[in-house]
Amino acid sequence: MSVTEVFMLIFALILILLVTGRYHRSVAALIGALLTILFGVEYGIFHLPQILTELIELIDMNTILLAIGVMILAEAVARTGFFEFIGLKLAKLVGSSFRRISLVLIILTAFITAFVTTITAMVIMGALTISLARRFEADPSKTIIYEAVMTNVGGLMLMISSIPNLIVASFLDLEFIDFMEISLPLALLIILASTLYLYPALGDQPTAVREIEIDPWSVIEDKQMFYRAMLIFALAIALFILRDFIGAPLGLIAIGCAIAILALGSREPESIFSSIDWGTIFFLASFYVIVGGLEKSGVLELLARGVFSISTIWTAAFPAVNMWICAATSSIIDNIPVTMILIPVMKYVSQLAQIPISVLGWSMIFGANLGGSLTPIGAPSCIIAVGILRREGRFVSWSGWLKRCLPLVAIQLLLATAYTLLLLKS
Amino acid sequence: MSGEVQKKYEELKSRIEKTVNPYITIQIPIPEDANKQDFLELEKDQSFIEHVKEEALAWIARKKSAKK
Repeated sequence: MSVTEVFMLIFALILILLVTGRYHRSVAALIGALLTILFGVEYGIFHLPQILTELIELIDMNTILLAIGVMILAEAVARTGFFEFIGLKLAKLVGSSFRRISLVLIILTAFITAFVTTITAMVIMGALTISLARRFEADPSKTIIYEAVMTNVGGLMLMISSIPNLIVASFLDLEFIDFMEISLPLALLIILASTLYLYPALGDQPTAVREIEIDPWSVIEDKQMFYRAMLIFALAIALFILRDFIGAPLGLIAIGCAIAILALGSREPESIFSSIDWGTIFFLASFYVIVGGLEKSGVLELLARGVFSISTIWTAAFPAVNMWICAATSSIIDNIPVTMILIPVMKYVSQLAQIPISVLGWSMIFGANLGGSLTPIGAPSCIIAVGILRREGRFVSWSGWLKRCLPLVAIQLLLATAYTLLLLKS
Repeated sequence: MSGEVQKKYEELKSRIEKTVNPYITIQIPIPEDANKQDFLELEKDQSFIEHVKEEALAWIARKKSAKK
């Protein structure tokens, strides 16, 4: 067997493990990385004496450090109660109608996801929605499902909003400000269009309570820590924006701010460390090794030639097709491996088809984020939304999910398609 | 939903519930002559909870008037 054939088999095995969910995704990636190392040494891709140096070269430390730093920052801010505070404040402001409160919570979910992981955002908004629905004696099902959809829209907003954004940004050398100029306007446009769709879709619900007398400040347990954490988080965002002037890698800035927040903005660093999604970090590191093996063995080039033959049919619209491919695959497999495999493939395709790599990169970001909402297993937030509703005695079937979400996600993807084609023309 | 996420959700929900739908948790020891099963079922008996709520209101009112 040739080296390419062996690595094709390893790649197929990893895909099967990821799709079937036989193992946790990070364990599946670790198995893939181990096979890559073993067969890489056997076929001369890696060399045993300097194997550690070769592996570290494959792992993008900037992305890993940025992911860890952002997770610590977001977790520390989330623990101050800031997001619940905003949610309760807004709910109190719009009060009296659960439909209006639902709409506000759904939109707020997108904005919260810009700063924290989709999992944290869904847990916070899910708990808030369930409590408010109980107060109003209303059905929270639609609200929770649409919140899950909006976590994936929020993932588009900033560079730190989702892991696929970090991967593509690192690969294409995109700046924080690029996301504010390109993907943030699209996210805002999608939120606006979604709001227009959601108001009638939510329907009116009978409400038992017309006024909500709550004190949002009561969810903030430690005001001093709250202000400190907010200040450090704001400083981190400012430094991300000014990275160009500072010249330091984003990963270093993120870790620096994470240390500051652990030292000054949190009373329980141990608990923050235990809340970090280490599975994703291990997954990322392992997948960089797998992708390195696939690249060195020629598998990625082979995949790229296959994709290129498709692109020659629709060269003008290929970035949009690429976005839909990413969306469709992200609705079944985790969007992180989808992005990690496709981004180097797109590098080859961009050279072969003469399509700007930046447009292909943006189309991947749009598709990988938005596609997660297509199915109840497409994104961690969707799985959590279904889990929260099940705990409250409300079962969401696949057909129920598709019936509610498909029209909304279709609108979002169509807007992203038009936007991608505009990017290609400009 | 993994165990860790579930735990986080429950903690958060309980914190928010205290603000949005305030409640108290009290332990009532089983009265001497009560049947254990009948007594334990009261925890989920909505009409019993309503009765306790009304009793709580009356208790607070009595306490306030006694202070005056």
